[in-house]
Amino acid sequence: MKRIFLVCTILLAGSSLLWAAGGSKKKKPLPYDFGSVTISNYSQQAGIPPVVFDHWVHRKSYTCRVCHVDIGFGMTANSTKIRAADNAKGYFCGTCHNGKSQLGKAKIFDSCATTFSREEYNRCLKCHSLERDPAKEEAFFQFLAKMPKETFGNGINWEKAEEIGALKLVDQLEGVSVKKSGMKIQGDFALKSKVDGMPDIIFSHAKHTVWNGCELCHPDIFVGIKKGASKYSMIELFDGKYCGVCHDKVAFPQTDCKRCHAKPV
Amino acid sequence: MTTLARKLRSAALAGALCLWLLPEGAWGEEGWRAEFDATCAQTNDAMSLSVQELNQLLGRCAALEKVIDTQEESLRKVYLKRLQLCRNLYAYVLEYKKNEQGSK
Repeated sequence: MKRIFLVCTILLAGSSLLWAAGGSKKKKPLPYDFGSVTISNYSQQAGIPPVVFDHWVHRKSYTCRVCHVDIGFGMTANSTKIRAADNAKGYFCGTCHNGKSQLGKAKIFDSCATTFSREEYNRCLKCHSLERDPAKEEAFFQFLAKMPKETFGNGINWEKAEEIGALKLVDQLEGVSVKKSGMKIQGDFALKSKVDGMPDIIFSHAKHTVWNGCELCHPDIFVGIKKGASKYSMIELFDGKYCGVCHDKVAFPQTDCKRCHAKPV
Repeated sequence: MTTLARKLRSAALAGALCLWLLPEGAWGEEGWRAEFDATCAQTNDAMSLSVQELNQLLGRCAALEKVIDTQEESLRKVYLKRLQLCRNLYAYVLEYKKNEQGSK
């Protein structure tokens, strides 16, 4: 009875928030679209469509840290203000997409040029395209078939995929990444849930530090070092703050309550 | 204060000012990248650094910022962002450590 009451309260609070936000419900993205980011700073001025960046394609090969710390991509869409000239000089996308770098044995295709011929325009469209691409969708489902499943997000349990060795992520780029000493393994810890009956959160600090390093989260996303120093609510998280910077957008969505609220009662 | 102490103090201040003003010349075109790598290589161990070490790293970050500011646009954008991440982490850990010391 208590649980039913709790679920009803959460649903009611959720629908009230939606109503307060203008009554429109966010459309749930399709599995291959989950985590996609549309980048549109300068493309349209240049007469080409915006870039639709597929996080899953990159996430299956690299840690978050490589792109968001070592290459310098911001954590929110369009915050980096990437220009074709930056890419052509070997920065941002051009760090790897330079026609020379390799991922395993495969050569990574070249990214932008500041000027391009009609023939080269097809290369631009590899990233600058808002059209649905059946080949990309097919590639996603082929990849998904080999991965441990998850109900939400893009249907992949990325954490488990790494645990079982289905993914081996690159964490250093030669000539780009700073060579650092090994990181002291951070202990996981529990955070008290604010709602009675809701299990406490088990925060996987070890996993997050391996993927992100320290500087991606501290102090920009989480200001407190001491456990419990940052006070936040689910409303703020759903508003894209704290855990919500990644979760819902790229990492598994926050509606998957039990992934975080995992401490046995 | 004795004359000698005053002179020593002036010399130290002048030295610090030179270090602050001359990083470009001292590091050369590519030297600053090695300095960047060395400065930001300790983010994984930030919590084990002393207040003095953190202060030194922050000083190096400040000097690097001046050099990076003079680079061409793309490089500047990338490296200022990278520097900001490591500098903010050091500053944040330093503040934490100072508070810890203060509360003891």
